[in-house]
Amino acid sequence: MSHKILGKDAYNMNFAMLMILTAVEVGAVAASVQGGIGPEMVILVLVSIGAIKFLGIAFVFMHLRMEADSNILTLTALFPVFFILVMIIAIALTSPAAPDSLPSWCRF
Amino acid sequence: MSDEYVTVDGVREIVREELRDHGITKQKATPAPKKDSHDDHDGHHHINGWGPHDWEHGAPHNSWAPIIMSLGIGVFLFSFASTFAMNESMNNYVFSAGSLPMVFVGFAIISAGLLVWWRQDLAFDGHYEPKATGVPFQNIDIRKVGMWVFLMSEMMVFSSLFSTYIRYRLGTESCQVILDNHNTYSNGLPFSPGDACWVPASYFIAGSHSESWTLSLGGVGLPDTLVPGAINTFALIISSFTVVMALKTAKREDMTSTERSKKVRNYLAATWVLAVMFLVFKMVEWFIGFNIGPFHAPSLMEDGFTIHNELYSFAGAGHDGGHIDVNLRLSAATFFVATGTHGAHVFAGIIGLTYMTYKAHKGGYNPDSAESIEYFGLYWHFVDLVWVLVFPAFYLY
Repeated sequence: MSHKILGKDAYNMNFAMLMILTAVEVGAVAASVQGGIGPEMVILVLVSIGAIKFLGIAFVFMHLRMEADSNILTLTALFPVFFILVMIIAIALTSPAAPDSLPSWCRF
Repeated sequence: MSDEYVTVDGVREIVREELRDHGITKQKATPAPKKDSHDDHDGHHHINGWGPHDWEHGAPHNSWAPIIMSLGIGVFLFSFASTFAMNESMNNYVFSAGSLPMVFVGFAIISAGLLVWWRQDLAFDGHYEPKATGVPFQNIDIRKVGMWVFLMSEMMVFSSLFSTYIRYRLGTESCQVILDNHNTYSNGLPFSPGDACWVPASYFIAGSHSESWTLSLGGVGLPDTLVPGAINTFALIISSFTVVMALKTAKREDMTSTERSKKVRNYLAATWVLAVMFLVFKMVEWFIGFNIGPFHAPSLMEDGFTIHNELYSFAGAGHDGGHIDVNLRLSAATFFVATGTHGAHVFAGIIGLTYMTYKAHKGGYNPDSAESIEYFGLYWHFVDLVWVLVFPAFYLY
């Protein structure tokens, strides 16, 4: 149960990483508000840090790595990704006016 | 009967040592006899669907709790949805007290379901953990599989909120762009007061609209209105850590049970405090605002960022004195529904944590029954995980 990252307790290391990354996130936005960095850079920072934090929580805190049943539970967690992709592509990336231009056969 | 002279815990300890001596550490079958167990004198085990369960006979297969709670949640949601009704003549939503009694009935049914569930669970001291038998989850704790399946459905709930947000965010013209274009859309059409355009919540929380800049991180100012959201982000991460520490502590065998119970209770209580703090700051951010010493931040409601506001005077950035009257309903609704749904999940976690802290206080968690903390932890980490996405997407961007 006592897993290690770089020789230290995995929970402690993950916690420290999450705290530091969150501080960087907030700092990046504060810097952009004052014109220190551009909006594109802020988005890049937020997306990159968000992805790392996401994996840190899922892999270490939710035990999707380092446990005997991690692989099958990771697959379970990934199962909805297909539907999420469908939602993103079919809904999120269409314009709000899209339903009005749908062909008649797919309208109720 | 010899076990009349041995305590139940003593028998369990002997069984545990025997298993350990034989190298079987994860096996948790072999329930120990319980002297006060309502035994099956007629050769049949009569399971009580209302609780408490007789865990000595293995996993319970019947409970009314899920059905009662589902019914309660259904009654609550249907009646809650009717609490605010659209008034066409006022072109606004008005409070309707007619469905309020049913809201409370829903709450009462949910509470009854929780009581049945907890009455059954409180009797569980961890000596039986049912395993899944079907493909592909063989030999994985069945409650763990159940929690993951539940989290899958939760992923879909939040995905729908995110896809709605992305769709409207990308498909609705920014009010700032319209203002920059001198009151016309990008396609050249004139903008009329009350037309919908997009003002992100970050404009009020972390943008140029923020009135006060008290905090400074290395010379870089942090708007006061961002303070509650930033504190909440740290609070949720710390609470995720306290949950895993509660789990880790509950599994430790090198402590006395009193010492272990006390520590587990303290970790869970700390998680509870952080969760309550999260909701308090959420209320501050939405409705109350704060004016403490040098810190001053109006609430979102005070700023006019509400789902009712159809004529918000948007001044944007770089337009001294210039403004347009915009309809905020779309951007405010997506923000409040997404962050509100997340807040409701935090509230549900607080209910669970209240019970678990009480159970830990009573010594209910030990190395054999720590799984319950792990399964709650999965839910709690998921709530944290969603916030990791909600915070940058809704508060910062």
